[in-house]
Amino acid sequence: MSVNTVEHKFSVKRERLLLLSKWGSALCIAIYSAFVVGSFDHPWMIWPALGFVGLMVVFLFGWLVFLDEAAQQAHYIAWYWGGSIGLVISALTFVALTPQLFSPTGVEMLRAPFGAMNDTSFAFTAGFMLAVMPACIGYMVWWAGLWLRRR
Amino acid sequence: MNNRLRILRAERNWSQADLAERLDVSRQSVNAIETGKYDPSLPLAFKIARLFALSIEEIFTDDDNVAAKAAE
Repeated sequence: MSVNTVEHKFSVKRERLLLLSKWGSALCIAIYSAFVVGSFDHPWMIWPALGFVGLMVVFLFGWLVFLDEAAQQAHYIAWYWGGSIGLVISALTFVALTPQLFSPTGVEMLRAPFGAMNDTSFAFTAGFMLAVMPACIGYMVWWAGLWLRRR
Repeated sequence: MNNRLRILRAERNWSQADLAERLDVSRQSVNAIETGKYDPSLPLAFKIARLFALSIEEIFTDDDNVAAKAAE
């Protein structure tokens, strides 16, 4: 494999595709969020919101494909450490919210921000966020640390 | 893992961005390799070696090897 002009051109193309994927994903998340907020008053808005989730998946896949190996490794490490610590926090929070241990106050405090949402929707949303959010935050914090260190 | 990438690059008056473009990686990756914060994969190490027309061992040295040579 020689280092030639074709590869140089590919490098520029890769940078452009990475930028497009990043900004495309960010835009999709923003539009998705706006549609989801709107869907509380206009339920039909959930359909275009789902469409933007699909588009975001396409952009994210492109981003994953065009990352170089050092960047990919940073994401592996960030998921391994940040994600794992986040999962431990999820588990500890779940235990701390167990009504049998500490009365129902923990769950009631968690319920408050979800206001008008019915109990089933609240249970689904809170359960999903409790399981996923700490891992995602841990991953992002770890990745940001690696990114700053390698700059 | 130690390496001579910064020296080899400087000898050719290449910036990190120049080297990154030749290797088809990001400038941050070149910086991470030069500062020893990231060890490249074997395919990338071969690519670097080919670019500088050297063997991998002439560019990269593992810490154990350095310690063993120092002990000799």
